[in-house]
Amino acid sequence: MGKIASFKFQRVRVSRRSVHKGYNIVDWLPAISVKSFLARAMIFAFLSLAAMFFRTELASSNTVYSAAISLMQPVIITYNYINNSASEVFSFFQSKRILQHQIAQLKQQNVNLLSWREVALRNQKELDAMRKLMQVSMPLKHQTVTVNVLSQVSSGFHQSLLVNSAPGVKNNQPVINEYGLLGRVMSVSRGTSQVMLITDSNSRVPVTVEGTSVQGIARGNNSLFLDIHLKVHDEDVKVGQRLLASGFGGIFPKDVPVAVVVSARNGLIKARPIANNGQMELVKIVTGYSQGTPFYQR
Amino acid sequence: MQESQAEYKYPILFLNAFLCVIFACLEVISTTPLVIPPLYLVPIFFWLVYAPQLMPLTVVFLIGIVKDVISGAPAGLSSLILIVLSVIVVSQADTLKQQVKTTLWGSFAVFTVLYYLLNYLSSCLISGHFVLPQLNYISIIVLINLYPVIVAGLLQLLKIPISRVRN
Repeated sequence: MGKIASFKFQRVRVSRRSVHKGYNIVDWLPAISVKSFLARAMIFAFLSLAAMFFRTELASSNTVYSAAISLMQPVIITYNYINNSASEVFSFFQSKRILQHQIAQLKQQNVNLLSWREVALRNQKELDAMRKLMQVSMPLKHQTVTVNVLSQVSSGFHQSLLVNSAPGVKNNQPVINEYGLLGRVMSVSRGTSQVMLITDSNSRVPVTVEGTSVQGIARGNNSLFLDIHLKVHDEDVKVGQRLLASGFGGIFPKDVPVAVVVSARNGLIKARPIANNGQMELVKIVTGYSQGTPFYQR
Repeated sequence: MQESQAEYKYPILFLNAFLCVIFACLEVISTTPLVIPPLYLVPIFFWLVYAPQLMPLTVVFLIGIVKDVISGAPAGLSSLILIVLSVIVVSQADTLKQQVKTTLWGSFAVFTVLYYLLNYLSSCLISGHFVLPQLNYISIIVLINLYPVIVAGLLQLLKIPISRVRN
């Protein structure tokens, strides 16, 4: 502090030798003093602190965010185009060995899926027969719209996706991909929509442990994992068990896979989201579904 | 004549601010494989050393606010970090100006590391506990290596008004 205060009033110049010959406009700029700079810095530091303490909701305000994103849309679209091209170049240069490994993995998965498909078709047929016998009314089919992911904002304060908007997209609609639940639409602006991921600290998803009636809430904490708070403490929750959306609250459809339990010790349960596994290109926004009915039911 | 040339600081200042806001936006929205480091640190550092008149604190404050709003961080946090760093740079500007380009480049590396460190400490302070550092080392290295390229571009900004005066 003493050193800063001892600075004398002086003109700030760029010498031709040290920067570039001819760029001497800076020499004619009005001089600034370190003292006045320091005074102004204190004012701006105070303003920053005031913004942090009194308007913390500014960052999460949908209006401010939407306005900022609308202004930045040309930059986002250009960046997205360049990034996609870069992805294609990276994929092209992927080694043959990695591709062969992936093909072998996919073949194995395909064999497993074919056997599961047989079981699923048999069960479906049986279920249809039972429903017909019991005269159960069929639920409505769910409506989804597929959109492109423009960017993923992942910081210590916020976890969200920026996606293309589509007709019928509204706030609070669930967002899924082929693996399970990703989050929900937080704001819709012109051309884009913001999706709050389930790992965001503001996200809460009512869940149920698969195969049991244990209910709980999956809370995001801005990390890669979710904190699971069960309604009733249950010692039987094991690592590897899946958590499905319970459908309570009316926002998320029932039975959509949410996460897998990765640790359960002393009542503290952590789970890894199933759907959020790296780079995403396309996601589905559920624009219409009948509440309380299992999502994957036909 | 001198005063008329000094008037050209406003277009440069505007271009600086515009460029930095775009850089801040790109940093937040960038995803793999094209992760963009905080490129706005280069103009901030360079102008604060050579010509603080072209990088006023209002612009520094604005860059921080834009970054916070888009990234969802508490508004004012990045501004505060950038202002603290600006004060450090301006207080040392007189010494830095006398140095050769390589030393200045090294000073920028220290400035960058300090920026990441302050960011990390602030996120710990706000979350209330020590979080695991998720430093993107490649981003830091890329940013430090891009310093001479961006500086060369910034010097071209000065050329625009000068060429107009000569004509």
